[in-house]
Amino acid sequence: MTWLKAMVDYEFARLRRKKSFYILVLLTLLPIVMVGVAKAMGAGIEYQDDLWAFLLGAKVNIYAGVLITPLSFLWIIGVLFGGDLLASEVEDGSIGLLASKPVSRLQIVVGKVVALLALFVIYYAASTAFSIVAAKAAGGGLDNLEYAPLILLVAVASTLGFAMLAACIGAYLGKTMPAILLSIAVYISTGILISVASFISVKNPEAMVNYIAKASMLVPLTSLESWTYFTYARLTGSATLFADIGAELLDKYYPYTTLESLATVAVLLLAAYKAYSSKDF
Amino acid sequence: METPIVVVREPGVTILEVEDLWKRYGAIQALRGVSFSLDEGEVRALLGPNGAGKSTTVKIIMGLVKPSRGSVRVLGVEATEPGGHVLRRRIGYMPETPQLPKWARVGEILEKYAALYGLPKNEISGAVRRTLDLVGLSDLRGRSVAELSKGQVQRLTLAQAVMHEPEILILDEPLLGLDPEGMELVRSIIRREAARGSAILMNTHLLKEAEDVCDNVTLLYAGRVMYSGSVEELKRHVSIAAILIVDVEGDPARAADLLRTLPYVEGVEIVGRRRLRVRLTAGEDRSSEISKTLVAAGFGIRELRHLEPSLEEAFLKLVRGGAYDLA
Repeated sequence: MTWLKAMVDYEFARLRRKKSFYILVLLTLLPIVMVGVAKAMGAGIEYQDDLWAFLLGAKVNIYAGVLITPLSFLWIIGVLFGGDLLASEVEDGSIGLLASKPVSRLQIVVGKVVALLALFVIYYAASTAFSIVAAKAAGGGLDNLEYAPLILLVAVASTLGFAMLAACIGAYLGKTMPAILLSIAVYISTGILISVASFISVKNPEAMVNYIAKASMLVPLTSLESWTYFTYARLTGSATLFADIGAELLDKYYPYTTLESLATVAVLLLAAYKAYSSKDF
Repeated sequence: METPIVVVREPGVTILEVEDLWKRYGAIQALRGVSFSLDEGEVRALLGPNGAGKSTTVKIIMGLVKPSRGSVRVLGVEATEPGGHVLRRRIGYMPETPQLPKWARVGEILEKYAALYGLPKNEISGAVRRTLDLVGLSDLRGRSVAELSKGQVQRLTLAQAVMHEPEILILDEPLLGLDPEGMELVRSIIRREAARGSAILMNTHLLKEAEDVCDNVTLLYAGRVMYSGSVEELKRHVSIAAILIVDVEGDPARAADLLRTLPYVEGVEIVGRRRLRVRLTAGEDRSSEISKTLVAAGFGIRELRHLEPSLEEAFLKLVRGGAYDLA
């Protein structure tokens, strides 16, 4: 497995020099910044039910109002890093030298995906660590800390899913920016379609939220993201409406969502490899 | 996932065999049955004008482009089949337009490539240092690739091709865009690698370049092999090497008339106030005889030199020979 180590090492060095990497570092530190802002505002009221209550100085725990900050960027982080995963080197021509080394196209793709996965794990692990620090600094508790690995696992899987969507488009187009923009378009249009479908089907606002949530759980990639948010809401007990819906949906759709999401990531990965391996460099 | 390939070699054997390569890019037929081989220690030029199919051929050898048909065997093992990538450990490759990753530093990118070549960790640092010394970039080890000049990028690209001491070195237009010092460095590295026993395949569109560093030449034109053999043989074969440029002191019209009477002169044109372009019938060097004839007739000679035949002329000569159908 020397090739895997060498390939991951190569890719990690590349990822570290991306502008998006610095955005990721800033996002990791965001919980501390936001709690700092909340403290500076002198807030001290408890709003445990509100997702963003910590901004008003709610009783802060690791989930309620702190870890949500990095979790809010699941899809955009995936798209930013996935868009150039297979496309940027084709675009700038440096793929010629990389692919002339004794690594197969499959090994290149695997090495890149493993490096990206490692980056996401580090990002969410660091986010959790900083969230704990921030929560403690704000005088909050660390309730439900045992669920952190589960949340992180799904967050990483969800981010990887969006990354694979963008990587797949990038592999077909051989261009980074169109891959990112198209992936964003896919994400937004999926959300709009779900909302419009819900609006047409259900008029009652509360039922509509429920309907949107259910529909989101059924759409590939979006389902993983929804799952992350619902799990978060369920654990924190914050955002009552989402917590209730989330609890119901998680119980009902959990096995389906997990399988569907894993299958989607696998299909996207295979499609990306197929496009990449058939390209002439 | 890696298939270990054990190859037992005998000295002087063929180590690269390209057989009946065809490649189509949409409507363009880039290669039409290209075949040639490379022996251990041989330096061969793939010679041809732009668009002849040289880069496509070496990209297929390197696995960067998939052939429509045909095979590439490296050390007797099929390189275009799955698992063929392992063979690239034995090959060094310098592309025509080097595109090193801009995010990397000079020493860093060599270290990454060395690891991908499978060099043991404890040997990488030494290999990088030696190679940077070789191409004269030791002082730039910590510099960003994005800050290098075109010539420095060319040197660094050559460095990554030779750092793992490959058995086959494939260079695509390695002298393109280099200053004279850079050219001499590249030539010296080619000679060094050849002396080490590497087989070298070098793409070029300059006959002179091929003549300077190569033993043999494979001439490509419109995706076909027009000739394969030594450079001297090629020049004899196309017999267009015998064009002389003569600057005479005296009446050029009279000098032209005199030269036209010689049996080995095919034609004479007056191309300047004193300049004659003399086309000879055969490839043998007749410059001293021409010179003697003119001096004996009372002409002074300011300059007499061979005109290097252009590749286009060579190709046209070969094509007009009738043996090749380019339709």
